[in-house]
Amino acid sequence: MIELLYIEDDEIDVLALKRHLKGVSNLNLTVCQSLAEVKMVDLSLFNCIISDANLGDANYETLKQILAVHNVQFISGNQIEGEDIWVKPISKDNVERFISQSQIVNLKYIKELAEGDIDYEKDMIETTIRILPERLLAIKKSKNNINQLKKAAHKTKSSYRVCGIDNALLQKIEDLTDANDISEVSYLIAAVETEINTAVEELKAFHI
Amino acid sequence: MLSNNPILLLEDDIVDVMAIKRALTQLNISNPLVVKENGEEGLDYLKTHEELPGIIFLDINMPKMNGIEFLTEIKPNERFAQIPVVILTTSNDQQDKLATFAKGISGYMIKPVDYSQFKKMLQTIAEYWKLSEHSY
Repeated sequence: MIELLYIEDDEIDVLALKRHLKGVSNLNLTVCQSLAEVKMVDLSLFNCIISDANLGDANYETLKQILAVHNVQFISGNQIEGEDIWVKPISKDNVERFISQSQIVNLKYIKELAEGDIDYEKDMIETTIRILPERLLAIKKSKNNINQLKKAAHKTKSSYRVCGIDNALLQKIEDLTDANDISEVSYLIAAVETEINTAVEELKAFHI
Repeated sequence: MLSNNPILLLEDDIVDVMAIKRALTQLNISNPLVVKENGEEGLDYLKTHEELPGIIFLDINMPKMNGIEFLTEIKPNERFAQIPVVILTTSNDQQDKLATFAKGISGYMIKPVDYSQFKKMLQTIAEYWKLSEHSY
């Protein structure tokens, strides 16, 4: 299930997005209408975020800063020079492309290895569906132990690469453990949890 | 390759084991594959089997005895020292690389195994083996 957050204070724009999303399965939409509301949600739970560049209580710079580590696309009434921003009204093509790019699993490696052997593909996918939650559990269990956490994050990378998942979050956890600073690691672990849960759902969909 | 000596794979991640098995099959390598989940089990296997593996694929990050500890055990041992060891890891960490090269490994591969890189490495090691005319 892809979790999409739309940060938008204009109700007509929200309605337009909802209309574009009609018929899109495997997606859950959450809407926040202000920065105050954004601050009340756990951003690590979302795979992709579309955000208005200007809210009543926050400007583009503030939003950019808050959403910096997330998979975000900004939208505005006007183009901002030098920035990759969609111009309103929101386009269905852009939304669909953004969501499809937000799919985190890529089976290229498994397919290359399988060379058309469907049974092998299924076997790899089933095994990965089983392994990923085990890896997540190991990461969560070791969140207070730097050495164990580093090992657990490192170990998960291989399963990520097999499924074509970007391992930036795991790398960040490893980097923090290298720097002996795990004070902010809980947030990253929560994001990894979202990532793994999404990956498992996507893998299940491939499997079917 | 390497006559029919077994290939010893020390790896605790089943997905990686499946990928390596597949790559070996694709390369038509029919040597028996022995899989052990950690360095301790690997060492025990070496000590209790007369026929030594033709090659060892070794994960660095394993429970009980990790890859570097395993190398520290086998490389000073005359009987095991000549077995080529290829490190399999997700790490690009220079420290890991230096630590394992200092212990006399034959190669280093980033997981998941890239099929063409894997093929090249096996061919190089097989050539080396032929040239050295080494036999157990």
